[in-house]
Amino acid sequence: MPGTSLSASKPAVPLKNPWLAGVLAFLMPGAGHLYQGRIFKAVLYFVCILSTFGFGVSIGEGRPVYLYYYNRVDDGRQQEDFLDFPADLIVQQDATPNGQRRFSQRLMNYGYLAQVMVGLPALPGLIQNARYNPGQNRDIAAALDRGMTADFEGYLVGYTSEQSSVRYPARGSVSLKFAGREIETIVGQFNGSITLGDGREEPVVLELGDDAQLGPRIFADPAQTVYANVSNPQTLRLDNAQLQGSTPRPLANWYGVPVEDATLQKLNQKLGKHWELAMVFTWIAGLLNILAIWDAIEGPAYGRGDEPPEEEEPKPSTTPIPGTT
Amino acid sequence: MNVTLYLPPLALAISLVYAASRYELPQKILAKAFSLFVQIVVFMAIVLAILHYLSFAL
Repeated sequence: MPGTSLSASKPAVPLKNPWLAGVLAFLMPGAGHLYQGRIFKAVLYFVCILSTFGFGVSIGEGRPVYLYYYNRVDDGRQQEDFLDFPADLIVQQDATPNGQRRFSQRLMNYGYLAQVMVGLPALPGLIQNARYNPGQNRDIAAALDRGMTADFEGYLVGYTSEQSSVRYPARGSVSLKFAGREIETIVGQFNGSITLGDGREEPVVLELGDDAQLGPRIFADPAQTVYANVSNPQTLRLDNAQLQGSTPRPLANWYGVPVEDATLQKLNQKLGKHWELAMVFTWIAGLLNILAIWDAIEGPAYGRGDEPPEEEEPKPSTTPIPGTT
Repeated sequence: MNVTLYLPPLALAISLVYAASRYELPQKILAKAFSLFVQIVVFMAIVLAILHYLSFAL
């Protein structure tokens, strides 16, 4: 009978429409079994597979799931020249004025073939690959068409008149807008507080301008870099000052986005073996969901588990029958 | 955190999912999962002991 799994003497495992169950199991671990009314398995698959996947994503800082990555081509520059520089600004600077990529080649992350089997949690990698276009991302004018206001966290870096450097933690909100295509300048304002050397928090309003730099709108990093020169450093008794920090990117603009070589370098540097473990956990979760999908379509591989053991067939007798030769 | 501590929860998840894909009844699934979990942990412990011994002279 289609849609059921029969054993010799026990009620069938209810599979309903097995192919629909398989699709649901692919999209969300346990969903197919929930549809079939197999609640215990639905909860088991959901908890085990998603917790394995989620743990991998968390120890990888949300970024071990991606379809493509960009490998840096040797352009003669040393690694040390850009390792301390934010990865998203490196990409901005490496692009040509018409948005073409330089110094990198796109390569496929074959581990994604396992990660994608988890379903919806990994499918954004396919969509983000289409959205990640460094040329369009680099169009800051479009990104700031309506202006941008976001929470900011970083540092105020500057020099006093005695040429001593200062670096104060800064926290607040930053507003940016595009000053015009003719001068290609981003201007804005920081409104928040800085923590001075003696620990005091001083509220400040800083005017930003003179070629502020902003990371791409879509990039594989939850933090969008903002570097902006302060137009009125004298209010802080400084000769010059720059705001260096980041604003948060929306989840849809960084999760599953193809990863740049500079980002991979920094993640390996920061996380070490946890980066590899993050990917391994997500691979394992995807491979486990293949078992769940198979179970949704075909039922349990060995049966319900309460079938009586098969009786052994009697062996043919080797004793000669009397009267025969 | 020592990454070795990541192993037991991972082994548990793998054992449960594999056992669930083989059987239907919860009691059978849990019994087989526990058996498989013990096998995985014992095997990994033996491998860990061998590697630890081999690393002594390094």
